[in-house]
Amino acid sequence: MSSKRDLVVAISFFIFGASILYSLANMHVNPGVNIVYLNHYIVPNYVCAIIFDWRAYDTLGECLVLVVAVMVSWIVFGKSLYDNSYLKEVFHAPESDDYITLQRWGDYTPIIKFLAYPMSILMVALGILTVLGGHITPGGGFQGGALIASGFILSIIAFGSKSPLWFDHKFLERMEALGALGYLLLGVAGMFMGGYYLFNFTQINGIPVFPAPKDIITAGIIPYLNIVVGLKVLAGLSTAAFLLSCEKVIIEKISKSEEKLE
Amino acid sequence: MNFLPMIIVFPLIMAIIMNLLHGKEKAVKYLTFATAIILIALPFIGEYGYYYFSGHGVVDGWISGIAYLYNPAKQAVIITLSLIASLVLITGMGEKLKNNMFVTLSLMGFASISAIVLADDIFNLYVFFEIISIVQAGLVFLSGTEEAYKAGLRYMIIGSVAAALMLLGITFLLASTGTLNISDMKHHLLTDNPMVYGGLLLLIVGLAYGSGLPPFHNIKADLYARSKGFISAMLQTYSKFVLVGLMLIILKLFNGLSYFSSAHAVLIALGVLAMVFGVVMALLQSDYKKLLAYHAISQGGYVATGLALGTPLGIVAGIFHAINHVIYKSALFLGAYIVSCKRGSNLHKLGGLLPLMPYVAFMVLCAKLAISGVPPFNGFQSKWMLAEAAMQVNMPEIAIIMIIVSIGTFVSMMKAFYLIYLKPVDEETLKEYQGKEVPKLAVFSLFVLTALCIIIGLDPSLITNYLWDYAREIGVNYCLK
Repeated sequence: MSSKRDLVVAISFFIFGASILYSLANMHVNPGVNIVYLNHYIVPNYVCAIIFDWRAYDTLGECLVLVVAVMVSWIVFGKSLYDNSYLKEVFHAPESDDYITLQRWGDYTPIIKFLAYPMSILMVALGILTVLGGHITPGGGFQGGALIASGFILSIIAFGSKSPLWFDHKFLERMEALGALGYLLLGVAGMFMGGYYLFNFTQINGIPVFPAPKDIITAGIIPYLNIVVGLKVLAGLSTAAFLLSCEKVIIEKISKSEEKLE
Repeated sequence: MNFLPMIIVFPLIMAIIMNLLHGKEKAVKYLTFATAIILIALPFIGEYGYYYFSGHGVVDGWISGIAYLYNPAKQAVIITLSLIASLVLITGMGEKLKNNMFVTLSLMGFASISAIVLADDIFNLYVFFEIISIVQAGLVFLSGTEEAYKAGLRYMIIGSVAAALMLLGITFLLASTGTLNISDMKHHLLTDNPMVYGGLLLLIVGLAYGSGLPPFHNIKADLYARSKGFISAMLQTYSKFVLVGLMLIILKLFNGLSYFSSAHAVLIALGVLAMVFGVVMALLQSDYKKLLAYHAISQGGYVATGLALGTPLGIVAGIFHAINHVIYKSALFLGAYIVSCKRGSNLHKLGGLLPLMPYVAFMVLCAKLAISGVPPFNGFQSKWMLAEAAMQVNMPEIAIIMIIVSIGTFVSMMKAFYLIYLKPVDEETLKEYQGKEVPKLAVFSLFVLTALCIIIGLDPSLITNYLWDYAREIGVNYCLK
């Protein structure tokens, strides 16, 4: 029975793969709309111009994918469940007061702790630089936010809950919401300034939105979009890592929601 | 100023705010009610025509940014969606736990479905398609049982494969045409390039995943069956309109091209298989919500078949059936929710509910007759149109299958009605029933939906008038010989 099934799966997989490879082999790339993107100069960084100006609305959607993913991981770990008896079976009472219990992993050596701290500070600094310079240098909100989040995660892995670089999970939640709301509201502002959602306006009543030296084309709201995306990505990725490592937060959530249900 | 993007942006803003209000029960309650009222007004604020985001319209002959297309057909779909969403939100307020995450995810889902229906840009559609697959899994997780976790996880794992394949299909189309805009892409698809076939194939994979056509019907039915009743009503609305949105885009891109005729057959076959599989599986179920879930799949097959015929009449019938179906199926799921408040959803443990709630029983009976295609109700009108469309292209066998499937639907629905409301029970069970309250808000929503079933059934032109223009634009008349 199972061998027949395997055979059918193998054949259909083969046909499917062959058809995709066949169509890939006949690829003729049409530059199409990309020529428009290259000929009309908005900011020095072309990728940033496409992501945050031509297709800014798609970037909003991509941000929301991350926001929803983080929300759903909160739900998986017990936020606002209608019935949490199953989750209570899976998670047991906390063993210690630490948010992250290192006993099971074993402690790291002083060398790692000594290296991880300055390293994470450097990563955060580089991340901030990447976010702020997104419109003129390679990088942008996503990359910078991911850099900051990885600095945070590195520090947590090395030090556990005594980490010197620490964001509270409620603070992270609020920061993520602030990032997403900022993006949505900047779009609404564009609607009132230029008549279109996410319109890239460069000045309000003659005052430039983003001050820049005269020989650089002013980027309008792109730097602000970079900043809110950076905030959102940093908070989202940190929350995801935080949820996967902190049983205590989850247990607190479960017991709190129980009070409410009764 | 054209406020069209507010249909998507307003629910998103409210969703993020609701996410922050965790634990503040009163604020959640009032804000949910206000949002539910405003949702109904949203479809009327936009103007018809193209809308260019960021103000990037046509540059050098190409549509350079992201465009939305709004027309009466899409408006009809979004009106239905907003009505169901607001009724479900109001029903959710009746639960003991004023759940902010339920409201957040429902609003996110509402926004992404509207975006999928409105989008005239194929990558934008993909982005919101991704959001909706995560949202659906999240809504199932909310019920918190082990089965719900399993169903949601399965949906997400399959979804990561299917959505990635759909993205590959979109890149194929982008590479061969050089644009992501659907209206533009149509003009550049004419070259006979195998890559376009590949793109179409992968788009169909995404379509089948998003709307629960075979081979993805099992995971989708599991998703509906494992969540709470009013959430299932929301979930099946989402997947029906994903089906309508994606199918309209496939038709707009490929309908009338020479190489689409074979793909036509594949799409019709998918629809017919969904119809038959759904009803056969439904006849076997002993769990009321599972039964309804498989019927949702089966009715999805009707919608897919109607749209896949590709004629103007077929497209109108397909969209019309989708609208009717979400109305009566939401009513049925709300009925299941009311019943499950009394005593679970296992058909063999229920019974004798008729004297306790005769009005609910009557309204559920109306919805059941509507889903089986009995005359004065709306299901009859759209099934009639679907059969007519099948006859028009000279495929009477499809009309026959539709009638047989309708009979199967009728049989299983009446069986469930007997087992829940009519079967005699002993004194103890009756006492147990009387101890538990009927959620009043759910009964209100059920009443509105049943009234709609009858109104649309008496005057189908209320909806079909909206649909004809767009259907004539993308439909192609043909007849098999």
